[in-house]
Amino acid sequence: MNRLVRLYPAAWRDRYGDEFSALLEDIRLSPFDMIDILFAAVDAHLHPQPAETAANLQRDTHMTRKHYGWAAMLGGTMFIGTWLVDVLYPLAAVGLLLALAGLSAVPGRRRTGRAWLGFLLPAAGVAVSLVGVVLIAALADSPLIGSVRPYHVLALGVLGLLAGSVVFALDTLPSDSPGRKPAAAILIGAIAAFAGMAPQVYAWTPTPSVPLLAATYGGSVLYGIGWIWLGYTAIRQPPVLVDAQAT
Amino acid sequence: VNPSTSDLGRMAEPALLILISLTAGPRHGYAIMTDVEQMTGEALGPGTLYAALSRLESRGLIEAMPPVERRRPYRLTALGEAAVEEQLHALEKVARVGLKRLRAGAE
Repeated sequence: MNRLVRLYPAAWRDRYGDEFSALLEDIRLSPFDMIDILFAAVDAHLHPQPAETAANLQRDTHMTRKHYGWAAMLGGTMFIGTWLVDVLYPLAAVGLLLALAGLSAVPGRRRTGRAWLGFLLPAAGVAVSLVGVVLIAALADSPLIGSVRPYHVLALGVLGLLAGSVVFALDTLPSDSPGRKPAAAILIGAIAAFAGMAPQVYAWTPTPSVPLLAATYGGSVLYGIGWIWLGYTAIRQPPVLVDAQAT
Repeated sequence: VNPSTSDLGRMAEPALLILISLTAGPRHGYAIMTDVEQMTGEALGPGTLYAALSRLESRGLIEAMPPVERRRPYRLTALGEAAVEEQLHALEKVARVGLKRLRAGAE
């Protein structure tokens, strides 16, 4: 049976191979059936149908989305955890970067300027923040240039990540994929955390006030929850087997 | 002929038989084969069956359902229902005209 199925193109086998094998097991094959399968296999090579490629593409997309969903959940959890154990930050950064890359580009394979900005800005933020992490590990809190310390580099990166996440969330909100409500949570959380963090980091205010601290921590937790929620939504979204309405 | 099935060429007839079979409800490949054999008295080859199924699926006339023990049922879409109805009406009209002419020739 498998030899007959192997006559078909790989894309065809991926889509129909299993059920076709099951059918061949159900029937007693006559010489006519063998010839029929041979002709059909040649036909499948000559005339591939969109359903085969569409189903494969969608399955791939679903698998990819699932992985990015896990990355988002990891990133969100670690981002919240960072406020308790700061060594978790690199995990949060990498998780969120992967999630941003996948979940911003996957829906509809859009390649708009805002979609790119929603990835590139936080990606740059993550890169800068990781440089800050390395500098802190190497130099502790010694000044780099003037009053600029490694902590400022890390904070600059985190602020870039938050600002980029706002762009990502704005780009995601109009679409149901991967989810409006989680995107709204990311948006509000990122704005609140940014607004709370920036004045403290750069000493625009003499002492951290309660509202700023509340915005920083509350926003960060909401931001993390938004990513966990978005990841969960992306994982739960079922694959659509066929979306081909080719006429 | 419905535009969505007009380009099926030699697969047009097997495709129509599959659509007719699915009007009774979702069926997997083997059930379609046996149903078509009962309807027409002729067996549909497994290669032809899947060649027609993939074309119908690509045109959105049928859709696959989750597999049950490797056997995947298919069902008509709204587009498929409209297509099979239109084709059967067209065939009915042709059959009526043909039979009328036969009877007129016999008299």
